[in-house]
Amino acid sequence: MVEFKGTLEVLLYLSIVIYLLILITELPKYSWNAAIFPLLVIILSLILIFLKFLQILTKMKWLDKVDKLTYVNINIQNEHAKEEVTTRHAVITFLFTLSLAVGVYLVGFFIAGGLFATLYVYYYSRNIKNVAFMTILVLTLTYLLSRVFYGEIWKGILFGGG
Amino acid sequence: MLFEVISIAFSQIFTSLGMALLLFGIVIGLTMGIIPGLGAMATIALILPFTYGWEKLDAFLLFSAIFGSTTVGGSVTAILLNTPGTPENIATTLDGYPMARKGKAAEAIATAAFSSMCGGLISLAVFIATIPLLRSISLMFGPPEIFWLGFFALVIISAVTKGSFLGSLIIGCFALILSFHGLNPITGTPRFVHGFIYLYDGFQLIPVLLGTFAVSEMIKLSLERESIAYEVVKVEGSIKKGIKNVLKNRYLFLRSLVIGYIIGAIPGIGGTVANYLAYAQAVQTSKNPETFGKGDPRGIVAPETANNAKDVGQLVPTLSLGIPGSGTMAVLLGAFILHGIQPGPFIIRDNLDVVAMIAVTLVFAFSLSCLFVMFLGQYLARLTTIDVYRIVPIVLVICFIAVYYIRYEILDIFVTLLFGMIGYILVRINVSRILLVLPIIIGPIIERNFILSLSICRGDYTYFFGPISIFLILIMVATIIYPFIKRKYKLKKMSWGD
Repeated sequence: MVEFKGTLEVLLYLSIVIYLLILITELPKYSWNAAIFPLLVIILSLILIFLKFLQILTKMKWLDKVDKLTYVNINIQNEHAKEEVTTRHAVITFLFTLSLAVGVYLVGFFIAGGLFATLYVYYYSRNIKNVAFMTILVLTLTYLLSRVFYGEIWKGILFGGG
Repeated sequence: MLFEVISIAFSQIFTSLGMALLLFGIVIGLTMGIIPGLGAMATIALILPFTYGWEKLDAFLLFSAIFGSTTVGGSVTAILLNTPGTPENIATTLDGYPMARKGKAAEAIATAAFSSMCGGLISLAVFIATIPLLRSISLMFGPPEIFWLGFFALVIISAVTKGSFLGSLIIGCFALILSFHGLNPITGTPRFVHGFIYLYDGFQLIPVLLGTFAVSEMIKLSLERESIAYEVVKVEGSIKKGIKNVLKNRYLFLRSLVIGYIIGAIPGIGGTVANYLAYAQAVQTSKNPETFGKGDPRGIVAPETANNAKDVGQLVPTLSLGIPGSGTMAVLLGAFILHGIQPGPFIIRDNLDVVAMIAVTLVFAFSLSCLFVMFLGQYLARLTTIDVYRIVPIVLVICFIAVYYIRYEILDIFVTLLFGMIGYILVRINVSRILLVLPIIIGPIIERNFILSLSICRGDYTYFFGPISIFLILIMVATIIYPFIKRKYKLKKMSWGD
C-alpha cells in the first residue's frame, strides 16, 4: 500500500543506532550519577533494536509474535482519506515544510511566510485568486501575532536577525 | 477541601475573563473538531505557547473548554457529510449519515449531542466522586514507585497501541534518551551537549509538542487529504425525537458509558476503540441487529456516549499517575510542565485546584457545545468546505511564530520541524506519537527518582521492589505474556475438544 514504509522504518532504526553510538563515546566523561541511567537506557535500546533487526532479517516465529503483540486491532481509515502516499509526494511535502523553516531563518517570518503561502497554495490550487487571498491572510496573521507577543519579530539572519 | 476548590473553580468561570475564555475555547474546539484533521491534540498544542505566563487556572480553563468540545463538533460532520471530524467519530458515520439521508438529520444531531452531553456529565460526576480515592492512591508513590511507573507507562502504551511492539519500545527508549540532553537533573552538569550551546537547555517542550502533534498532523493532512468538502445533507427532522432516542435507550446508554470510561482510563488505547466497541456492543445486544447501518439511532447513542465518557476516563491515569490516556492528554501533561506543575502521581495531590478547574470547565464545555451543535449544527458543518491548502500554511506559520516567541530562539523552529518529521514517520510506521513525547516529559522525573532511590537504598536493592513496584512489574510482565498464555490455553482447549 505504501511503498516506502518498510525502508523508512529500517532507516529510522539505523539512525537511532548511529545516534546511540555517538552518545556511548561521551559516557566515560561523566560522573557515575550522570552516566548510570543513560547507560542503562542505551543498553536497553540497543537490545531492542538488535531484536527488531533479528525479527526483520530472520522472521523468527517467537519474535514475530512478540512484535505483533497488540491488544487493539481496530484500524479504520476514513473513506475520504487518500490511500496512497508516493515517495515523490512525500518528498515535496517535506521540502515545502523545510523551506518554510529555512526561509524563516534566512529572511524572517514576513517574507518566508508570505512566500511559503504563495508557493504552497499555487502548487495545490493553481488559482491566482486563492494565492493572493492566502498570502494576504498569512501576512496579516503574522503581523497580528507579532503584536500579540512582546518583543521584536525575527527578521532573518540576512536582514540583521540574531 | 474538594468542595472548596470546586466552588473556587465555579467562581473563576463566572468572571468576565472566565466566561470569555470558556466561550472562546468552545468556539475554537467546535471549529477544530468539525474541520477534519484538526482535533483537540493539535489545537491544544497550538494554543499552548500563547498561554505562557498566564495564571494556571485561566490556562487550564481554556484547554479544558477546547478539549471538551472537539469530539462533540466531530459528530456533526460524521452525520451530515459521512466524514468524521475527529477519528473518535468514525462509528457515528455508520448510522448517523443514513439517518441524515432519510431526512432525519436534526434528530440524528440531537441524538448525538444529547448522548454526548449526558455521557460526559455522568462520567464527570463519577470522576469527581473518585478524586479522594485517586488522591490517596497517589500518596502511596515514593521514588522507586515513580521510577517503575515511568517504564510501566512505556510498556503499557507500546502494548495496547496498534503497530510493532518492539518498534514502539525502541521509540519510547529513544525519546527517553533525548531527554538526557542538557543539564543533568541531579548534578546540574551539562550532558550530551556535543559543544552546542543550544543543547544546554535540552529539548524544549513546546517545539517537541508542536512538532510531534501539530506539524506532523499538517504534513499528514497535506499528503493524505487533498480536499475535504462534500455535499452537506439538508438538516430536517425533530430535535425532540433525538433527545427521546437517548432516554428510550437508557440501558444501552449506561453500557456505552461504562465502556467509554474504562477504555479512556487505559493509557494509549484512544477514542476510536471506545467508539467502535460501544457500537459493536450495541449491535450485539440488540434484538434486531439488521437495522444497524441503515439509520438506527442506537448506532449514534452508543458511540457518542462512549466518546465523551472516554474523554473523562482519560483524565484518570493522566491526573492520578501522570500517564497520558491519549495524545491530547500527553499535550496536557506538557501544559502542566509549562505552568510549573510536575507531572506524575502528585498532580492530583498538590494541584487539586487545577483538577477541579478542569472538571468544572468540562461540565460547561460538554453542555454548551452540545447545545451549540444541536441548534447550529447545519451552519457549523459548512466549515468542512475549507480546503486543506488553506489550513496548512496558516497552522504552520502560527506554529513557527509561537515556538519562536517562547524563548526568542530561532533554532527552536528547526527542532519543531525535526519532531514534525519524526512524528509523521511514526504515523506511517504505525507507532503512537505519545511514545515520542511522554518520555521527554517524564524522563527527568524518572531519572531523578532512580538516582534518589539508589542513594536512599544504600546497597539494599529490595527498596526498589516494594508492593506497588512489584504490582507494576507484574502487570508489565503479564501484559507481554498474556497473549501467549491465552493462545496456548486456546490450543489446549481445542485439542480437548478433538
